Amino acid sequence: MKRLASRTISRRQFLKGGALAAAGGLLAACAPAASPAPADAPAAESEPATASDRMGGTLVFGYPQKTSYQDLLAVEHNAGNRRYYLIGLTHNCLVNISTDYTQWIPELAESWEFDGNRAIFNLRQGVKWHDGEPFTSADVLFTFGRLIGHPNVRQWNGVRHFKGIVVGMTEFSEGEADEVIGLSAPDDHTFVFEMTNPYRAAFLEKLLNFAIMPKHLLGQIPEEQWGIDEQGQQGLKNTEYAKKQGIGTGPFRVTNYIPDQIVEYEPFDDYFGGKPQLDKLVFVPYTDQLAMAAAVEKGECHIAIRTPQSEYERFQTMDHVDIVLNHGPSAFAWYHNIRYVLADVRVRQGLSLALNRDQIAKDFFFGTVEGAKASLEYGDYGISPDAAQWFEYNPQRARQLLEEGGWDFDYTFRLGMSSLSPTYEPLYAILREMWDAVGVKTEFHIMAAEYTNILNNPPHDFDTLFSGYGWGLTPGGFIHNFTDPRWGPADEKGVAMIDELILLDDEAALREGALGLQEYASELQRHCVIAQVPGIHVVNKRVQNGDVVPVYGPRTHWIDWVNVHMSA
Amino acid sequence: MAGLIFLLIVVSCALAAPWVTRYPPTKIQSGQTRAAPSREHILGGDVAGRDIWSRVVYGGRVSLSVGLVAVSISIAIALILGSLSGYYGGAVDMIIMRITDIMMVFPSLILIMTVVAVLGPSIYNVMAVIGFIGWTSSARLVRGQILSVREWDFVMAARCLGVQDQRIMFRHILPHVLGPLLVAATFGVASAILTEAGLSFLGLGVLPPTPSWGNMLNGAQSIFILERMWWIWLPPGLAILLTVLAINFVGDGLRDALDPHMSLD
Amino acid sequence: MSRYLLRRILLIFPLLLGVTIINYAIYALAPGDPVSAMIDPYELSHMTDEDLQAAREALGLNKPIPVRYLIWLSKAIQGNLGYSIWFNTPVFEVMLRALGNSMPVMILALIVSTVAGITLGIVSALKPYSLIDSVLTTFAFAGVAVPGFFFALLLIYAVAIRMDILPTGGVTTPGAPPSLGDRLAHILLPGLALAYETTGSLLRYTRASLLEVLHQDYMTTARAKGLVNHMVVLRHGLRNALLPVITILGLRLPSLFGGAVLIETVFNYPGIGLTMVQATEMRDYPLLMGGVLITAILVLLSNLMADMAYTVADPRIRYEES
Repeated sequence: MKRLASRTISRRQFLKGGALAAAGGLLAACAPAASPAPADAPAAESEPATASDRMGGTLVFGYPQKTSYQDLLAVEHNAGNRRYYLIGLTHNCLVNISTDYTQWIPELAESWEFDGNRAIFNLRQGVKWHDGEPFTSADVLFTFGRLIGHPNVRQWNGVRHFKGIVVGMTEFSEGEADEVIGLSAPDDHTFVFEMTNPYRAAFLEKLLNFAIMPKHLLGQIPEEQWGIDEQGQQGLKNTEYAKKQGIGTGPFRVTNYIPDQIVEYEPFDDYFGGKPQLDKLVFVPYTDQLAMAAAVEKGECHIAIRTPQSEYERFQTMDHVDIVLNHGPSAFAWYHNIRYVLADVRVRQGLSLALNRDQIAKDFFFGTVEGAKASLEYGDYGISPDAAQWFEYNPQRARQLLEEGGWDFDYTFRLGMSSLSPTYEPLYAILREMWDAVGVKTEFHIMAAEYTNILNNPPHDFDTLFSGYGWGLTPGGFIHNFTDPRWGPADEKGVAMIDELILLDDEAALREGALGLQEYASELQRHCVIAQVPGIHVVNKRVQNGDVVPVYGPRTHWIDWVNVHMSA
Repeated sequence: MAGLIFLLIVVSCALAAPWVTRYPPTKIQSGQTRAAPSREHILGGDVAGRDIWSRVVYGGRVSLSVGLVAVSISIAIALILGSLSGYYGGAVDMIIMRITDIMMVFPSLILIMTVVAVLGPSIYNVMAVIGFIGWTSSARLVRGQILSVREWDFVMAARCLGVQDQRIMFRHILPHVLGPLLVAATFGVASAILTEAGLSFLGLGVLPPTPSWGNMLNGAQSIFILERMWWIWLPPGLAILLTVLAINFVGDGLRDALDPHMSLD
Repeated sequence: MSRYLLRRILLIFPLLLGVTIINYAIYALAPGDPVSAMIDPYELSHMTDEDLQAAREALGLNKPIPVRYLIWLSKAIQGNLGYSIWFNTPVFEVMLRALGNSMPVMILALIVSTVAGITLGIVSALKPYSLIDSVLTTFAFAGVAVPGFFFALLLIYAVAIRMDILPTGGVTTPGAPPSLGDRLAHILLPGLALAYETTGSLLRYTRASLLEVLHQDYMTTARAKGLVNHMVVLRHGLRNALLPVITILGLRLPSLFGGAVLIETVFNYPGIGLTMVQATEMRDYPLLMGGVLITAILVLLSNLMADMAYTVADPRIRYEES
């Protein structure tokens, strides 16, 4: 794999979609922060470093974050979840996926097969935890069978990935069963999921969200202490494991963790993919975008992901960094609440047609992203013209549709957000101007402390909400956009389409189904998708063998953590 | 003197905003996104394409009113509590002064930030919170002044004549308090403008698109803009700097004028 | 004198109580259900009314506010300020760590501003209305007039990026072995940025105070006795002039905390200011309240220390408080 030439930009427009859970993305509120996911690479695939390169070095990795990842307990990682950035270093999942979303990559599972409703995983042998204990199927059983669905662990929403999918998960998570009957470990290196339907890729995709955790450490904590204690804290997070150790099977182990300041890692000698070449790896969260940009410029930080688009032109003129443009499968969108003023589909269509997305991409995003072309971009199937028509700029038709849909032009449309980020205010201003041009009056609806109340509790008094939006790695990942109760009643037709689609195996049928879903979702306009979330990543040229393709999206095989190192 | 003239210019610009600007401050001008100054837009366009000159002028309106309203609130509170405290003394004084002590213990920006975060940011909340938190030192000032005036002969005389408390207060004592209070208020306006700028920097100030000098300065939060697009950050930055300077000079002048003791030479 | 100090110390307790009441009142003012602020929205949308009720019960939210205040207070007295929702760590621990980072910056700012402010103030007062006085006065005014965060941004751009002599932010160079020099290099810019405003106001206070003293009768007498002007200033003037300055210094701490909020954000410096900003951002109320309380207590203590310094410095003091 070749390093990107200086000052050239790789525009990987694969956008295979990502299983960004809408719920996770929403947590991050107004500055829609889904997040890229680091993942480690089995060494088998990477080329050895060239002889002239000096091995080792310290790599400093920066990412923008208003607040810290809370702990090292990396059970699940959704978009908007802070641990997302870090988990791939210390932990592994059963499977991983290539950066372009075309290939499944074995991780802790060496291979797998499907047999009707059964998914059978053959686990890698000789894998060790950072403390030297062997990894076995008991750890997998512990992770999926106890941890994820445990009724005491109410704060995690990962279990929804498996409810109704893995036999017995619903019962276990609701406290009606003592264990998940659909899981079994026939021997130390085999693990079997019993599924409710013959899912294939859609099931593998769900596994991407879950790192396997060590039973020998977490299993020692009594399950009755896992839940929320009288302080309102989750017991499991209040442990040595979550606060200090973070022991996993991944290429790096934690040596120093100060929340909100720094995580330092050293290479794990016994990593199954080979010992990483770096001497030291440091993750630094930057609360201020300018501070991060400055640190990159000075070489204090070697890889910075999601740098602000406003600095893009400056980075282009610098000799010591490469820029990687890679947006991943997520976008900015208005989540429409179809209970009230947006009940009529023509109104929603009109709102969409009033927006000049290309203009927004140019003016606000400095040309670093593209305006959205569909509600769902899935696979290599492209964009159906029937879907794209709802994303064209057509103020006349917009006005007409709004009139036909009975829009009250005296009504002031409330643009909901948890707080008004100064960074995104110009974007809102541009959007408001465009809506104003077709006669739709708007105002900000800043929910502040009442955000979660308004969003989650009846009467759900909001019109539309600005947030990050996941396009869906597979149609299965997209289903939340039809079913999330916060945006109004579920869309049965959409759900039915997805239910049918996720069982498909045939490429042609899949393509037809995906485009059909795209058209349907775009016409429905339950979400007004604006533009890709910019993924402007900057890499110092001292970083060698990086093969860095940071992704603004779910966890992928995106950096060759074993072979990456620094030149002098 | 230069300060006073500058301040007059700023205030009249703010008052005459519709006449000294050509474009509405929140209206996006097509093709003006980050555009450099031109004949049509003398200070260019901001990150969303709004006319910066208009925004500076209207932003002045907002920033000055935040300052004035906040200070009016705190002066009103200071006047009431300070006079009660100073005039009646005893338990009333004791209680009020302890409350003042307590309020003074909180680092004001942290307290303001916390309360605004709890209430939600808006121009009214910002004005109110700055006002309701910033009265303490003025209240002490009023009390101190009254304590000294109270013992003056003419007040004693008025008392002996059986003049009502209220009358004594308003007729005889307050006029002597107003001078120093005016000076304090002047500085208060300057500091309120700066506080609003700080809150805006944290996203807790006046909410855009309503321009304030503080939230306009947020444009400076990008090295690219800082380095190459002076017209986005320099005008609001200078507006704050010069206005606060001017207010401080005027305040100093007022103090010298009102307090002969301080005016040397 | 010692009785006065004793009274001051005793007075701290009612003040502290008042501080906690106001602190808790703000907390109680917060709209919205604290339960929903603490629980994952997705999870929340799936919780039944009974679940919510149970969660409220568990957090003691069903009791009236005064009762909740007393419960909170009794815990706070034992040093238990609750858990930060976001950091998943006791508030006290989070604050301690943040203070540990902030203190060096604040101390540096205090030292720089005291030395520079007083020295420049004396220079200014010795030659009032001269060129140097005007320059210094303008400098002082600018310090008070430039928003601190903006000055910090300019410092980063000029010193850290263009001149490339100091780091742009953070506590240490990430990945570098810990060293004192590295720590110092990181506190220098934030310390200077924080010092600027204080320097300006100290300069003005020193100047005004000294000018006033210089015109007192006893100074004239001293001069009449034939003492050289500079000697007069140093021997007689300075001591008296600096008395009010001590009070001013003691009162700087609140504004230093305020300044730290903005400066630390700009420098990505994880001290108490940045922590508070994050707490507001995430609406982490226990952390927010704990932070306000702890900074208030520190201010209270510093005021007390200023008082003590003042009494030591000025033996004339025989306070009869109201």
